[in-house]
Amino acid sequence: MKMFKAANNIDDLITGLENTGRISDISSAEYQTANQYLEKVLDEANRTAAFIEQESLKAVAGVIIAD
Amino acid sequence: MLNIVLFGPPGSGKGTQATNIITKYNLVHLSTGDMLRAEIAAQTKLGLEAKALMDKGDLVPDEVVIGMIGNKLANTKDVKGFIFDGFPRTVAQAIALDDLLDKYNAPIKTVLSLKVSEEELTRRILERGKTSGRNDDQNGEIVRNRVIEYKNKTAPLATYYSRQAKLSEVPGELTVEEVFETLEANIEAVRVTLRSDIDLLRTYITPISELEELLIFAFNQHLQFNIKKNENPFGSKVKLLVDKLRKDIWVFAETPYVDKTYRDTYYNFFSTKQRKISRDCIKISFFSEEIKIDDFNSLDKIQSIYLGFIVIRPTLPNIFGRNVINPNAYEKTNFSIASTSISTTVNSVKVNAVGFPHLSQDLEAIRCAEVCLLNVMEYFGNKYPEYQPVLPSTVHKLLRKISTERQLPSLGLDVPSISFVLRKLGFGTKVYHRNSLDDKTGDFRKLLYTYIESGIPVIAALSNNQNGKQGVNHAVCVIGKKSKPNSVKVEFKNFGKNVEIADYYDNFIDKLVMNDDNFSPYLDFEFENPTALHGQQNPLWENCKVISFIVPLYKKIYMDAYVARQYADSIIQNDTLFMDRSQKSLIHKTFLTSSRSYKCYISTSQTINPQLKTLILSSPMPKFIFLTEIYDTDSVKEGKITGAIIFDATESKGSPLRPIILAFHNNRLIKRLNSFDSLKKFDIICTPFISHNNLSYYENVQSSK
Repeated sequence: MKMFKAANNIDDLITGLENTGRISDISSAEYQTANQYLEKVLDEANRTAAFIEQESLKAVAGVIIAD
Repeated sequence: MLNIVLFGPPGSGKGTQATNIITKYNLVHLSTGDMLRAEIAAQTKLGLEAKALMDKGDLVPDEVVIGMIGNKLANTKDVKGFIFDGFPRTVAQAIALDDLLDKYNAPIKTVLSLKVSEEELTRRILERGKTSGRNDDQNGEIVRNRVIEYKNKTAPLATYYSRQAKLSEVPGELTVEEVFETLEANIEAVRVTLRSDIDLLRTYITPISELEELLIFAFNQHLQFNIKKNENPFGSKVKLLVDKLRKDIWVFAETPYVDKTYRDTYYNFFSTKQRKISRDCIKISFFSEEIKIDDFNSLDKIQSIYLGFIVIRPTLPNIFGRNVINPNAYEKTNFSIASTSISTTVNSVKVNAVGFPHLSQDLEAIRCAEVCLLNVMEYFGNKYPEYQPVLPSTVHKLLRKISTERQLPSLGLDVPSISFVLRKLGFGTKVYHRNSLDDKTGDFRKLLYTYIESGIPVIAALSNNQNGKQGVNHAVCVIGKKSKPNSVKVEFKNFGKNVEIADYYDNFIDKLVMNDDNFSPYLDFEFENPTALHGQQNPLWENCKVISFIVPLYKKIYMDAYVARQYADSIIQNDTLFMDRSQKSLIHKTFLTSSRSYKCYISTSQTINPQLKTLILSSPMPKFIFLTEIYDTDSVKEGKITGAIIFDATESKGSPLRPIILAFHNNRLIKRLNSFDSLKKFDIICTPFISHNNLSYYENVQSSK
């Protein structure tokens, strides 16, 4: 099977970065911290968004726009 | 047949002008004096009858004169028309002449009356008397009496023809050439009407300063109106538009024009009324320089100077139908708007009109709410293959099942109905009401800014309807923004941890830009006073607020913009994975963008680091992404970003880090190498590069003349 090289050089770029130690894993401690603050934020924001949606739909009902 | 009656007191130059008209239009001269003499000379029955009367010193009765004219009409074949000179002189003669001409189906088309002051007439005749030697031309008293007698006799006749809307008074004190020019213009106008029943398209070219006069002319000639001199049929609407446009613009008008939107309201509503109203429109196209009919030989030339179009409907006074005007046609612009290119024609040549669609309500079949829907769909339908422009009847048809009252005449729509129509037309609509968000945080305003920055036109409801009092409830399309200069002093908020952060939307947006159907397109306004301009004209409109807005969102954008903003804020404040904390003062801006336009911008960017470019372009992305751009205090002045968070708009719940597709700040970057992988850190150079823009910026283009 003939092998083709990706024209956008992404493989070369990643290999080069890996070989020079410029790609690294995120440590589990770092991951945990990020996860924690974002989890809380996402949860709260989604709750508020649901509230906004519910209240908005209630508030807009029945007012005819015609001017 | 072009039959003209030419009036004029002795000395008005009637004889000269009659000759000019006859030569130009190839008409037959019908002078009753000449005819009488000819009939007598030829000894016809009528001639002999007339001679007998004249010999007795009696006046020739009207029947005899009418009989002669009848003979002449019957015996003169293949003529273009007659010019009646010296006849009729009384109302009775005019009635008899109308009856006679009716038999030949050749009515009088126009009556031209030369107006010269008594003093000037007396002066001219006395002057003539010196050379001609005619006695009655030399006595001042006799001359004045002749002039007064003419005036008294013809006054009732003028009233008679004026009631038939045939009389045109032409100033006769100018030069012979100038008087003839005016006579010619009047005759041309009649000739156009004469041919109108054979359905010819007509075009007119004029500078923008004459637009209103051209419209009045076209309304009278082609749309069956009878607008009189000194009437103001369009209110201030045309004037307000002309005032905004560049003074060097030229106008190309085409009529009759079939406009899809107006034809739809015509057949569904206007044609069902007793009042007769035209089903045709006039199409006005704008050009950046003087245009000549030969210019239409070159498609490139026409496109290069084309600045959009406006359809003029016969729905007075709200005559602005569908229009797309290029903001470059405006004298003053300094704003960014969502704009699209709409294919249309001008004088049979295909051109692209660039701008945001606009339309005014006709107050009967469509009101502001329907107008907003039509404009938004015209925009999306022309920009994206997923959508189609709609007609007013489609909107009403979609709402028929849920409507509890008749839909025409339209009383407007409520927000849920507008949202419902957008849902039916393929959008995943979102509705936000001001009262559902804490006013102190400015979140409602910033959500609106987020969508505008995303290039999404938003339908906003404006109202001052408070405390149960009936006020104004209006809908507009918010389509863009006016930015403050990049050098503006930024106000930061301190978040501890050595970070101070500013929201772009709190600092850099000056005004918003809307298309309001009560005004011409591209009106800027302050968020807290959207009807400042309306209020100046009508106090009823004062103190309106943006109370809610409807976003026509692509249906697979699952993350709410509110959530996206909170998510991005939290990352910028707390992140330790990629945010460069040596940067103390940061400015950020979150908005939606299609990955297609984002990747195109990255791919063609000349200022982005090549490694960063490859990493972004090789990242799989959903159709829409949220993008948070990060600036520092220096880079923002050049409009350059030092970092960005690209996150997935189809993710809203689940693993908190999952939405991140790629994020970088200065030389730190995080990204997944495959979808099952966790994020990895990259150490690459990311120099500041120009920010992404979903809106098209229009800058002042000054008049060249």
